[in-house]
Amino acid sequence: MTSPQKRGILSLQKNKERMLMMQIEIDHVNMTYPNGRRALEDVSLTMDSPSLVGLLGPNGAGKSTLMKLLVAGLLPTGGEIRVDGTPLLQCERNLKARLGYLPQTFGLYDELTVWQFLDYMSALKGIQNSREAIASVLRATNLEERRKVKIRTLSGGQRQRVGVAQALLGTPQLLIFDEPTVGLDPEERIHFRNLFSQAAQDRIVLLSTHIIEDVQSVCSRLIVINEGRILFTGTPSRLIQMAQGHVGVFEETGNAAGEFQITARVNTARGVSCRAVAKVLPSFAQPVEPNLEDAYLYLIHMGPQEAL
Amino acid sequence: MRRLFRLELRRLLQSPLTWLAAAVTLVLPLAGYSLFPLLSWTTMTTIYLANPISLGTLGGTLAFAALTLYELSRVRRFRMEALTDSAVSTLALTVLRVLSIIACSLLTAVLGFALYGPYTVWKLDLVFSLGDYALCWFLVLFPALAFGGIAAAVCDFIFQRADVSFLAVTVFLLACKVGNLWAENPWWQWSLIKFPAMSDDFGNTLLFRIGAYSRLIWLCLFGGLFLLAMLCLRRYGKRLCGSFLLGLRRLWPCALAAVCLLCGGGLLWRNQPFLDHTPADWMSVEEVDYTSEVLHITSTVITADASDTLLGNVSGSAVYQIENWSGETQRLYFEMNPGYTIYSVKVNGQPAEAMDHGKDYIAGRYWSCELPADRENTVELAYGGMPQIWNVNGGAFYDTVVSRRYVDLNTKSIAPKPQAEILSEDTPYSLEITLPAGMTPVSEGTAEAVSTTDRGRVWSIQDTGRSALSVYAADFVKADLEGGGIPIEFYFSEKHREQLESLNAVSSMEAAVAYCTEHYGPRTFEQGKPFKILQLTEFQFGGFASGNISATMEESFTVENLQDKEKGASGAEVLAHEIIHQWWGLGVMLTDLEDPYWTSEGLTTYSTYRLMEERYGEDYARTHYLEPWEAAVEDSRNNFYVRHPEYLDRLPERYRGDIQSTIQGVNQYSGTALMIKRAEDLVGGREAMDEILSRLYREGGTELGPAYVTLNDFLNACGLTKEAVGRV
Repeated sequence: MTSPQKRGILSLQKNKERMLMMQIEIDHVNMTYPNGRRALEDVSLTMDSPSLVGLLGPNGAGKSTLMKLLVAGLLPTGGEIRVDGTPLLQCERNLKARLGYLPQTFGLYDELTVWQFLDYMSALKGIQNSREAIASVLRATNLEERRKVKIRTLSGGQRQRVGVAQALLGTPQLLIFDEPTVGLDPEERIHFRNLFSQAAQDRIVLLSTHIIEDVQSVCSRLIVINEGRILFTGTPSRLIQMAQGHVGVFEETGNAAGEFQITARVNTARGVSCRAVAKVLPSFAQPVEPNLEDAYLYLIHMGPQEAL
Repeated sequence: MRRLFRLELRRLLQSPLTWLAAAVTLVLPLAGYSLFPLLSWTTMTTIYLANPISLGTLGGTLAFAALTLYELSRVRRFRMEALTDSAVSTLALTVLRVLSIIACSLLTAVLGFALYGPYTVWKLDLVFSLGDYALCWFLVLFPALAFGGIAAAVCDFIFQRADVSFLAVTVFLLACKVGNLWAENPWWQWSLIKFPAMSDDFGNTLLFRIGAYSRLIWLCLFGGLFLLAMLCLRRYGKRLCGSFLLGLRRLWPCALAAVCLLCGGGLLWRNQPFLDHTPADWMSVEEVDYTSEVLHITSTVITADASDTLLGNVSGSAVYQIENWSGETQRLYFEMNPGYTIYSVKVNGQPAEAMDHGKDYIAGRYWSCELPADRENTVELAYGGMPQIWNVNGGAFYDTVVSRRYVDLNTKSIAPKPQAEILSEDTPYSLEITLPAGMTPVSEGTAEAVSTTDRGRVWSIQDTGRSALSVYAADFVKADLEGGGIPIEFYFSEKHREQLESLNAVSSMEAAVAYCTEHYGPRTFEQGKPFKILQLTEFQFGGFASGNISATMEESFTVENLQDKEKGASGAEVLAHEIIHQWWGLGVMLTDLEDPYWTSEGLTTYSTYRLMEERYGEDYARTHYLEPWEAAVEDSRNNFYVRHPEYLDRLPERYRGDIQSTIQGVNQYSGTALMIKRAEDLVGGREAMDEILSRLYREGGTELGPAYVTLNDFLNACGLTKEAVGRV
C-alpha cells in the first residue's frame, strides 16, 4: 500500500471517529414545572463517548426529568445543555438523528406487528437499510420469534424489549434508557445489562435505574441524584470508597439504638442480622466492606456534605 | 421528509378507517341522486352531477375531518409521543400526517371521478361535459375534503381532544352555513361551494369561477389558521399558551406567513370581483330616475370585445350622439354593470370627467359626465371590466357571463346605457361585438357575422329605436317556425339538434304557435320584428319575455322533462307545451294568492290537450290527456295522506315534502286542466272557452293587475263559481 493510500484511510478513520465522538454538557440546569414543582436544581455535568453512565436516585429524584431534558422533550427553565458544544435547541434535529431513547412509560402501536412497528420507527429515524437494522435489534433483544406477532398480544416484558429494540435501531451514538429493566425477568435483565455494556464501547449510554444491580457491574460512571440535585458523580469504586468505614452489621436486639440507617435485615440462625450505614458507626456494629448499594444508601441518607 | 411522507401515506392507505372515510365520501353521492337531492332544479347535470357531488362533498368533509382527528390523536391514544418525538420533530410529523390525509382525499376524488364517470356519461349523454365533471370532483369535492382535514387539524392542535375538535368542526361547518344564509354571501361556504343548479347546455363557468375564488379565499384562511394553530402544538412539556409563545419566538416566519395568509383571505373576501354591492334591503331602496327629458339620443355606436373567456372580461368603446334641447349644460347619466370602469370620456372631442356615483343596485351603477349647452354632442366612452352579478340570494343568478360556451350580456353589461330619451323609433343603434368563435348571438336586433379575428368572430348587430340591447350567444341553432302569421325564430343549443329533429319538434312547436295565435292572439310586443324564442341557461331561474325575445329554460329540453306525461304524451308534445307557455306564463301569468294549484301549468296543459285534439282527434286526446288526468286525480284522491292529512304531519319533513309535492303536481297540472275542461262544458263548449281565454290573454286579469290572471278572474270571465267547477 502506498503512503497516500495509507494517509487516506487514516484520514477516513479519523473522520469516522470524530463523527462517532459525542460530548454532552449540562451546564447549571434548572427545571421547574409549570405547577411550581422544582425537579432539578443547578445540575451540571459532562458526558463523553464512549461511556456507560448509570443514573441512580430514588423515585421522584429528577432522573426522568433530566433524561427528558437530554432528549429535548422538555426545555430547562435555567441553564443550558450543549451537544458537541452546540446548544441543544439549535441542534435538536441533529441530536434526534443520533439518539435512541426508551422512556420510563411509553406506549406502542398495538395494531402493528413487532416488525411493522420497528419498520415504522426506523422510517421515522431515517434509517436507510431498515431490514438489516431491524433484524439486528430483534436478535439483540431476543424478539426474532415474535417479529410477526401483533404488539397487543405481547407480555409486559416483551413490550419492554420492543421498547429497547426501537431505541437500539440504527446504532445511535446516544442511548438513553429510563428504567429499561422494569418488568424483565432476571435472565433478561442480565442479558440487557450485557447488551448495554457492549453498546457503550463506542458511544454514550445513559442508564437510569433505581436497581443497583443493573449498574453495579457494567457502569463506568455513576451519577447519583436526589431531590433534583446531583449528589455524586464518579466511578462506582469511588462511591464505594466514600462509604468505607460507614457500613456495619449487628444483631438486632431491643436496645440497639443510635444514628444509623438500617439498609438490610437478614434472618440468620442467631437471630436477625442488620446491615446499617452511619456517619459514625455505633459501637455494637461490626464494620464491614461496603458494596455499591451500601454506598448509594449511605449517600442518599447522609447527603453529600455529611457523606464526604 | 419525502420518505416520511411516503411512509405516512402508505400507513394511511393500509388503514381501514381511511377506506371508510373514502367509502362514505363515495357512497353518499348515490343517495344524492334521488334520496336526498339537495338542489331542486331539474337539469340533467343538476340531477346526475350536482346533487350527488353536493351530498358527497358534505359527507366527505365530515368523514375526512373525523379521519384526521383519529390519526392525529393516535399518537396520544397509544402514548407514543415520547418515542416518536425522540425520533422526529412532532411538528414535522404532524404536518406530514395532515398532508398525507390531504393526499388521501385527492385519491378519493380520483377514485370517485373514475367510478362515477361511466354512469354520469351514460345518464348525461348529449349534455355531458368532461370539464364540468372534472371540476365537480376536483374543485368542489376534493378541496372540501382537504379543508375538512385542515379544519380538524386546526382544532386538534388547539384542543388536543378528538371529541371536542370534531364538535368544533361540525359547529364551524353549520355556523358557516348559517352565515351563508344570514348574510346571503357565498364566501361563507367553505365546504360546499354555492351551488344553485348546473346548466346542461351552456356551461357552468361562472359557477366554477366563483367556486375557485371561494376555494382561494378559504385556502388562505385555512392556511393561516393552520400555521397559527401549528404554533399551539404542545412541545417541550409546555401547555397551550407556553407552546404558542415558544412557537411565536422560534417559528416567527410561520406566524408572519399565517398573518399574511389571513389578511390575504380577508382581502380576497372583501374585494371579491363577482357580486355587486346592492344593499340587502334593496326592495326598500327608492330608485332615482336619472333619465333626462331634455337629452335625446340620436345614434349609438358600440364596439365591444367579449372574447376573453379566461377571465370573462369585457372591454369596449361607445359613441353616442346626444342632442341637448335645454340650451344649458346638463349632466348625462349612464347605467352600467358595477364591475366595469369608465376609463375615459370625451365630449365633442374634449376629455371630460366621468363621475362614479358608487351605489350598486341590481347589477347596475350610475356614472355621469357633464354635457355642454351645445345642441349636438358626441360622447365617446372607453370602458371595461368583469361583469358582476346581482348579489341577491348570495349571487345565485349566474346569468351575466362571458365564457367559452356561453355569453350573456344584458343591456347594462354590453355598454354604459345613457339615461336619455331616444329621439325616434328610427334612431339607429349599432353594436359590433367580438364573440368567441363558434357562437351565434341572439339579440333584439339583427345580427350578421362580419369578420373573423384571432380573438374570435366579429358580429354586427343593428337595431333602431333603442339605447341598449342584450346579447345572448352560444352554439345556437336557429329554426324558423311558420305559424300564426308572424316570423318566429327558435334558437336552441346545437346539442339538441338531433334530438329535436328526431322528435319532429319543429312541426309540433309550429302547430302550437299557430294554435295559440289563432285562438288567443299573436305573441309579440314589437311590430315588424321577428319573435325570438330562445333556449337559455338554467341560471336565469325561470323564463322571461322582453321586447321581441322570449326565453325558455333549458330544463324544458331535458330527457326527463320530455318524458313528463303530465305535460304531453310525447317529447314533441311536451315541447309544444313549453311553447304554449309563451302565452300562458310569459304572455300573462296565472297565479292566485289563495289557490296554490292555480298556476300557468293547468291552462298550458289544457291548451296542449286542445291542440292535440285538433291535430290527432278526440280519441287521441281523450286517451292521452283526459283519461290520464282523471286517473291521476283519482289516484291522488285515493292517496292515504290526502284522505287522512292528520297522518301527513306525523311524517318526517322530507317525506312530507315529497308527498305534498306529488299532490301539488297532480293538482296543478291534471286537476286544474280537468277543472278548465269542466268549465269549458259549462260555458258552452270549446269555442266559448277559446273566446274567454283569448280575452284573458289580451286584456289580462283585474284582481292583481293585467299581467296576472287569478282563479277568480278566470271564473268571473266564465261566469262560474268555484263550486260549479268543483274547486272547493
